[in-house]
Amino acid sequence: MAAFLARGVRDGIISTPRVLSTTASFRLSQSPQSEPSAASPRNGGLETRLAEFLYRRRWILALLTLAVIAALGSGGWRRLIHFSNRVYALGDISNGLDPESQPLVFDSRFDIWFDADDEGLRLYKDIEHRFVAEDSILIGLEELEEPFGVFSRKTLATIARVSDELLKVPGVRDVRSLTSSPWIRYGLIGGDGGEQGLIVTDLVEPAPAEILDPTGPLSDRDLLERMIAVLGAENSAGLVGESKVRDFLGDNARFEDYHGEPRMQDSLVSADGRTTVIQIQVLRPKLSEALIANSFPEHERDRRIAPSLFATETQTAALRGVEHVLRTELGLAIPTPESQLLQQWIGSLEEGEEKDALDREFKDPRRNFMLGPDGELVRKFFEYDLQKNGKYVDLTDPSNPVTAPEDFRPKPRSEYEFHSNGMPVVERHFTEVGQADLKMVAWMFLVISAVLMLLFRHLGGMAISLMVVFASLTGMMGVLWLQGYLLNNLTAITPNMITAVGIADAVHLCAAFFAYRKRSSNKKEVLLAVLRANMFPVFLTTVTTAVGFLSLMTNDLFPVRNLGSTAVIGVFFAWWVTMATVPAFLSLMPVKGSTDQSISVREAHDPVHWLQQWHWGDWLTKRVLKRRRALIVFSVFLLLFSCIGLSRLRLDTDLRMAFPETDPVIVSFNWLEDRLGGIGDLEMVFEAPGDSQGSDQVLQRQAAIEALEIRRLGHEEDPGLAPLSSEDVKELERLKQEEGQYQRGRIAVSANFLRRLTAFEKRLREEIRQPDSPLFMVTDMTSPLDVLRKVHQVQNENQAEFYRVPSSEDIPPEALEPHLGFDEFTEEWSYTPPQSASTLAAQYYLQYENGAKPSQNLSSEISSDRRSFRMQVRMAHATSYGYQKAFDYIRKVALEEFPELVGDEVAVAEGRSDSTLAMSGKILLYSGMSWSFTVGFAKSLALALTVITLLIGFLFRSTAIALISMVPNVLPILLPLSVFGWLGLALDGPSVIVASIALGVCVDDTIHFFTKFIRAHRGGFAAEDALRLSFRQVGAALTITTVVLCLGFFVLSFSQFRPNIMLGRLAVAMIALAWICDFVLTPAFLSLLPDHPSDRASSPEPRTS
Amino acid sequence: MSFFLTALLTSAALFPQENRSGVPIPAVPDFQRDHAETFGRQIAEFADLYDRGWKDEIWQGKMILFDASGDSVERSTVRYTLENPDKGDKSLVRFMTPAEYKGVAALTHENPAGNDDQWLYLPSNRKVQRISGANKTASFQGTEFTYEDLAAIEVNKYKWRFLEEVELRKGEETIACYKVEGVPQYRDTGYSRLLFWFRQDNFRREQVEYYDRASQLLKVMQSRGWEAVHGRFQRPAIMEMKNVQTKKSTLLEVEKRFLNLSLYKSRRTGKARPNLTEEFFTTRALQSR
Repeated sequence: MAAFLARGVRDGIISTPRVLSTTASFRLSQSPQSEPSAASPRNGGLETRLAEFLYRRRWILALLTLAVIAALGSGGWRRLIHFSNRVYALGDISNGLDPESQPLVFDSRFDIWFDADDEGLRLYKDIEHRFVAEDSILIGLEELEEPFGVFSRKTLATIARVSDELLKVPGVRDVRSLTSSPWIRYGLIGGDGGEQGLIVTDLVEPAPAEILDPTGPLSDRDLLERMIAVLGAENSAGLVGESKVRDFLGDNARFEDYHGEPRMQDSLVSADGRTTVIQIQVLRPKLSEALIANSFPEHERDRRIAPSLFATETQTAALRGVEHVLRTELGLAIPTPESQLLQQWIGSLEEGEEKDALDREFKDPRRNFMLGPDGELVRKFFEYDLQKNGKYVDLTDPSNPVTAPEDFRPKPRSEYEFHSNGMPVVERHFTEVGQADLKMVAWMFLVISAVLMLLFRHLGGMAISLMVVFASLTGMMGVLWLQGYLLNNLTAITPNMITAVGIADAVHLCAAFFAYRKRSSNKKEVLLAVLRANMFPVFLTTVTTAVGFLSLMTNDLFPVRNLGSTAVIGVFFAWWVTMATVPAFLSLMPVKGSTDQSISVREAHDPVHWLQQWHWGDWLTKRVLKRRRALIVFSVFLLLFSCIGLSRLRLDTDLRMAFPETDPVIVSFNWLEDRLGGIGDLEMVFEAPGDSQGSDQVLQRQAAIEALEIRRLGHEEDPGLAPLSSEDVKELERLKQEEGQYQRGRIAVSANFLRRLTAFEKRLREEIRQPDSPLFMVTDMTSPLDVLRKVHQVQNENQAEFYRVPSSEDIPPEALEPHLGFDEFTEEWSYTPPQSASTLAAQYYLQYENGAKPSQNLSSEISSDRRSFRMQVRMAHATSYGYQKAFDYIRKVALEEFPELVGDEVAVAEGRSDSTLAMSGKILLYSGMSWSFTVGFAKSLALALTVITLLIGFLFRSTAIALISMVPNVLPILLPLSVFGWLGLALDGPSVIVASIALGVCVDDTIHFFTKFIRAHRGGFAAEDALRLSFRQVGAALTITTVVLCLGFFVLSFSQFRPNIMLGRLAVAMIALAWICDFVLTPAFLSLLPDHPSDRASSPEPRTS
Repeated sequence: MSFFLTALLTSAALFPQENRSGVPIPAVPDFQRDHAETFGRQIAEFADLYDRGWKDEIWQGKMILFDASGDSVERSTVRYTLENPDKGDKSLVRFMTPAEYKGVAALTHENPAGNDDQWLYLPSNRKVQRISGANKTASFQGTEFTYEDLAAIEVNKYKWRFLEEVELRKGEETIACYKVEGVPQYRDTGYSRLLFWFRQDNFRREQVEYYDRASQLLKVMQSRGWEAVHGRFQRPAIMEMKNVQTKKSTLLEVEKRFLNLSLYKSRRTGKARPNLTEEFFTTRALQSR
């Protein structure tokens, strides 16, 4: 291919007659030798033969191309619909509208943004796999006026009402809120005559109406008690005043003994008691492999994508239900008149399962549409949202938005404003934003149509260009869908890019046609000339643009790779459609030259003749050559400046940087964080690796020990028990040793581990309080240590000094001895082993879980084999760079200061350390993403640059030219990026991929310019004349394509996805700079090339200058 | 194992054992089949009545807790129950394995009118602690069973409705059942409704489906390996609770069972064993191990 290219350049563009080369990949040699035409005296040239072929077969080619594209497009679309129906069929997640009217075009999975081999992602998935997979939707609200803050009747009643309604949303596993959180305490059970004991209840049990009633079951004192239980005495005093708290606790109470509930503070309620959050746990459903295999038998890729997509869509459905509940509370969900009829109809049905099913469907808050008695679609509620224009609009059916009547005023049940956030909200937002980005293509079409109309002043040229773009996009999307891919936030901009590229391709042909057609009356002659002049430049630019996109395929991140491959396909389609259909459509247009016109197309381009006419390029050439030394020095300086700036460039990525600051999700994100501290979680998983031993093996060993111990301790009392032989004694020793070894690895109940972890936790807490600690963004740490401390305190009559992890002093002496008992009912001996701090911890966990709801048990924090222990660290917003520093610091503290707690696998195996430490969490993943982008960016840019420079060197057979080409290729890319480095601004990760894309485009300009220059220069023209000639040939075309491409990328700055905005702006800057470089700096370098007098003789084409 | 169970089942079906319990089977009431609500309630009431008179029970067996990825942990317990119709059963659960739980015991006095009374004993600190029994939706010892699921069904606390007669397929077998819906009428519940499959000939509960507050199927409980203890009382060898949402599940598998202790001979004295008494179900007994 490369050889073909090189030859093509020399044969076609440099116009040295040569025998046509034939290659298998380009099957043009099979076309019959065309007749010589007036316009092509040198009929042996490859360009001529190709042009002939394209012209003669234009209709077949055009129809064939359009048919193939139509087939690809409709095939891809059908595949997409089929896939999306299957996903919807996996579970009940629709909003009641026909799923076919809303196919899953978008890939909303979060995990596509991380390197699949990333250690953190592996661990994250592992956590999700081992523990329950779910995400939380957070609903925040604040109460600034009531003296009791969020512990006021009004707030609690609202929370209780909303929490109760939220539990009725399918997919919601549990709701943790101020009212429904478990409240563990020591107190009187069973009213008068009862006894003191351990109580676990929801924090606020009564129904909303009862809460509101001051004479009801909750007195003000009860409210205060709950406030102190949650916030602690100090914070409560800050809210209601010290005297009230003192009044409740008594004069002798020490405030520091009442520290509140660490598992609720700063997560469910702010320390000042003014803000609270309702945390809605939403399942990520797991599907059985059999179901997946049955539903997607054809494609492996579907089986991989569908489960995760289904999980995300299920959460999105639950989120719809949650929002319906909130709108109801806010008075924004109004039953439609039709739904009242529907309800009456369901009520009138005969009792039975069918009626029940309809009734449940009617009450399903996720579903705003259902079929009525006559099979008609009924909208159940107007789900209004306040739009920017001040109007209330229901947008649940995007094809049929409903605006509220002018006099509509919501009647909210409570006046709180709800701020929702959490992973499901963010993930859905990614999709929404991506879909909005897709709609930008329409704008781009509009802008470009306007530009083309100005340019061509002709409807046909515009129509042809748009047709090319439309067909290219159809082909690209068809192939994408046929492969089983969906669009994601990065690939959502490929339509824009391909529009720009496709237009550039088509413009070359159309512009040439409109220029040439004035000069000839022979349509065939005009078209052949158009094709000859553009075939190779268009092909070459296609190749270089493709190389730029292809270089993205080396990236570790799937969306970037996918962007690369999708865009390459698009670029290819743009080229194919241009070459195969534009000639046919152009041939429908009239030519305007008169038959007797003396200047033929060819003569019009006679260089000598041409140089005599004035051209703006002459002026530019003169200026440049005059100052060429200064320009060269300046270029070198700019390159150095860019390189240094680039070395200072810092990439940073986080969720928040993905959206503009005014974005509603970011606004609520900030709202919650300002009031509650961090809402991002870092997972620290302590793990004792190695053989965890099967449950059976352990139980068998324990049973063997028990049997031997019963005989050892009981043989004197029970003659039926044989005393131990010396072998038995040895065996018992061995088993006990093995058991001891096994128990050491069960860190979650190991007293040593728990003691060391407590020290580590204390160390981190102290560190956080330091003014400029690297851990400044850490706001909170929670783990089952909190549970142990709380249960231990409650087990000891709630005394403050027992708020600690249990230790060996807590074991009464008689419990340290083994015990043997006889059960008279089962008639069996029973052995109780000696107790320890470890058994006490294990029994405390059991006690806690015994009182907790199934969704609140510890299985999400401690693995069932007790060998891994999870600590959650809540973090406020920071840059990914800041996070990385914090993670490194935590790791360093753990390894250096707590070697007995944390070590590498070797240290754990040798018994020097208790556990290894692994960190994960979406925060960590997102900050790791930055690194992936940085590495990926450097890799793909270097690769693209190398390939392109080699390609240029090869095509032009000149090292000097290859080196010179780097100036206009590299400078426009590096300069804008280096500005970020010099200004110390961080660049968000995904935007840097623009470099590879822009490189491909910049190279287009260079190649167009170089081919023209070198053709003239090697043909014997002096550098100045060669430059002047080049400007005449490509000056206008390059300027036009630059304008079109800049406009195309400029549209991206209206995106809602920040990386795309930055990408658009950078691309505009780079493409504009490329134009300047090619027109100003490159000529200065090119003029240094020695003239080629020898070539003049061998080349028949250029006339002497 | 399954062969054994099948053999047991078929033999029981083919040769109904003679009733050795001394408790006669009550007469089937006059079912009002044309009224779904009455009929449903009649079935539930009769199933409750059918299972009365067993006096006391010792159940010794395993609880196997499976997490979503299929990994499991096993605990074994022994449960002593004293039947006390209308006033509420009394029960004591004692952990046998794993070693760290050995000796942990929970005592429950069921209270049909209000909250149950509960006490917990931990051998590590040798303390008996009264614990509140208010939260019926809490998990039973960290399993997929909640206290609500394990408590005896109080017919009056549900709104009943007969749905249909169905053939329930269980492995190879099909069982003729009454499918009955029960809607809890008390506040502290985790469910919007339950579906029961009562076997038509002996009214044992073959299967129960639990629907969460959002009316979505949450859990399915199936009982297998039935045995007519003393030729009279239907008891399953295995109760399996599957959470269809989280994919976690719990298996309760019997190893030894005594129903009405006085019907068994003592290995030591050779006489009939004593029945459990009220004294056994006190906090003192809990502590003395």
